[in-house]
Amino acid sequence: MIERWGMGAVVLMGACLLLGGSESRPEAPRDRGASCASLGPAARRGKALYHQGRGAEGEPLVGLVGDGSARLSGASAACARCHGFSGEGTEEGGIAAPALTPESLFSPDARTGRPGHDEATLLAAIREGRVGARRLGPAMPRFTLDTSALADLRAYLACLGHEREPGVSAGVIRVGAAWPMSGPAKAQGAAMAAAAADVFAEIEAEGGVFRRRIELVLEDSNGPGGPHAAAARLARREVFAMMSSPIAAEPLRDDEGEEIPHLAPLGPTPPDAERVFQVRPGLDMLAQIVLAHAATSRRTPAFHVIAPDDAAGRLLRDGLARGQATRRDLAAPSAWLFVPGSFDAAAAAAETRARVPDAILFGGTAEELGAFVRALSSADEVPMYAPSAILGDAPAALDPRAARRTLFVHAGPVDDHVSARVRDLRARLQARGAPAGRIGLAISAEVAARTLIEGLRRAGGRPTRRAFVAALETLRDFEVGLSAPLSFSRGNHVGVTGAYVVRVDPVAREIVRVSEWLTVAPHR
Amino acid sequence: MSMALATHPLRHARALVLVGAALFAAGCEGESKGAPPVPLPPPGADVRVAPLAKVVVPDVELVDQDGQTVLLRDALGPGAFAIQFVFTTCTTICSPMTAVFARLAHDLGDSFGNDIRLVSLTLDPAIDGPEALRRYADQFGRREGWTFLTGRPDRLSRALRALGGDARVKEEHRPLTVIGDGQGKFVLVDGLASPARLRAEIAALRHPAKNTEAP
Repeated sequence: MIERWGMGAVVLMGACLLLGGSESRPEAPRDRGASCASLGPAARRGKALYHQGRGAEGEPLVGLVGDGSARLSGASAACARCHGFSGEGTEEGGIAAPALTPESLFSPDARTGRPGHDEATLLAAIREGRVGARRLGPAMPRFTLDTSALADLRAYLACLGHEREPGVSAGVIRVGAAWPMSGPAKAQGAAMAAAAADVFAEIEAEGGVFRRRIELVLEDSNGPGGPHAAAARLARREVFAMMSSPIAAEPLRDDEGEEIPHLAPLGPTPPDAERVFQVRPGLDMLAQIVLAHAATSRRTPAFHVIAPDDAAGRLLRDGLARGQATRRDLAAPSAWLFVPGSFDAAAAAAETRARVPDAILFGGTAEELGAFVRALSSADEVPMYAPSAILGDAPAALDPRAARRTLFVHAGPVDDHVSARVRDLRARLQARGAPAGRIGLAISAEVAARTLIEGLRRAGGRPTRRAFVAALETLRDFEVGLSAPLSFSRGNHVGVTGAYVVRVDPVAREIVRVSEWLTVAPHR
Repeated sequence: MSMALATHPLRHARALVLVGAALFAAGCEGESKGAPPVPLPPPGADVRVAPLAKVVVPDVELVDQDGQTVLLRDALGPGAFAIQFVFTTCTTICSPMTAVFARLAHDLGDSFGNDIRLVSLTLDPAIDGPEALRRYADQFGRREGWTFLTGRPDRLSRALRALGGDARVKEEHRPLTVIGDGQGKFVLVDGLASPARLRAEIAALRHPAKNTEAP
């Protein structure tokens, strides 16, 4: 740095230190490791200001820019936005946002010649946008912080970049999961736990991830309060990340309000989530793939959606509608949503006959699909699509008439390697004494565990949740075996953004491909 | 980060000399409590405005924050306009720039949306889909008359090149605002200009006579 700024700066800085260096300045706390392991109340409030632009009472942090007429508030005014999540600073657009870690803030800055900050100079920088006679960059807002908020921020700045990461210790990284450990789905929960344990044992045998082993912290999703209560209990148990667990309408946050990363959740990604990584495309994306497939064989297919009136059914309907909105040549879909669990096949068939759609997207269960097909006359030969998930592990159980008429959109791989890997997983589960019957969820747990390990390896020896998320966002065509290759990016947290259209072979009773791999552009 | 610096070595060197000189002149008193602060240069002193010649708004289809396909020309409207280049994961200047646009929309009063429109073009179509843009725009209280645009990378990059906002690496982009009068005249505002300054530049471009009469 010094070389770039030239000797002039050094000389001037030296002069300043000589002239103005007599004043004593507060030292940054020496033993930050201990004092910052757990933040006090003031530092916690300061942390919310720094990262989220949120004050003690939830009020937005406000900063004025330029001549003071334009204002930033809340998250867009948060310090972290420019100065970084660990206070590392940034330089972008030719504008520098300096590092704010205690060791940079409270020591002299060689580049600008500023001495270490004290309370008064910090106040001037934050409120007035100046350090001594020097005006800070035009992008630095002048914040309207009161004295107590400033004290909170000051308390947090003493620990910035030195906080202990939740769930990470010298030898262990704790990962949480809410899986059924009692009740009817207990066997599947046991298979999931065994699949994850098997991956983690394999990694531990190799020496761990940066010498840390992975500890699986489990809560019973069938316990008191159901799956979301189980997830909430996990959030309080200091887990670094979550895997393949139920997910509510809001992303899971820890006690400090920080979102806990979640891999391969069992449910759709909440709209506000920033650290949820889906493996397979959601139903909305599958609906768009159906649309893309139908549009290749017929110019303007008018779709009719028949689905339960629940989150999944609405995702299908909205995905199709969204897909059509981007393609002007397609007619808007119609939809018939039924009360979940009470599907009236005859009424659905009558409605379909009246509408004369070009194609049907069916979102009910395999049994409901069978009933619907039986209620349709043989004359109603419209192409029919459904997500392959309704087949579960048992495509052979599908009504043969439904099998003949229905195309399934399938985001998993379809080849012999996969069946070999599924057999291998079954064998490993059996070796652990776990049930290996219905293993759909165990596959999800295995994929989540392997993706987690890769993310941790890429996040480095001092993993933070933020670094972990950024590391996952660098995955391109990552092979996990039991899924199509995964790719994530800043803008896309869905690992597989394509699918095959498949059918259930009426003779072999297993799924066979009828299309190439079809992809859609992911939109987060 | 060093690349960003390397792009504008002169600018930084000059800033440094000024800082150094100010500190030296003040005997570094600014740093000690109680001393009268040295007068600071007014905000916006580093904003430069230059005419932009030969700009042709390309006829490209882009996508707005609501996912609707829109022609760039239509988003700019029949009258005057100001365009900024931002991206939602930007770490420094984009939030202040967008806040300036929000205030500008407010200050323009009745002419906003009618005679004058605002457009924020993303530099990062890979991340800034319509949904990301809408969330970002909502943070700044976007109103009708102010459009955030993304689109296919090739089309977007045609638009950016034509308007002079094309940053080779998005992190190196500068706080630029392009102002057009809707009649084929353009100026480029380089630097984080205040809403008042942008308003004045729009007025000066639309009514040059008034501007030259001013003292």
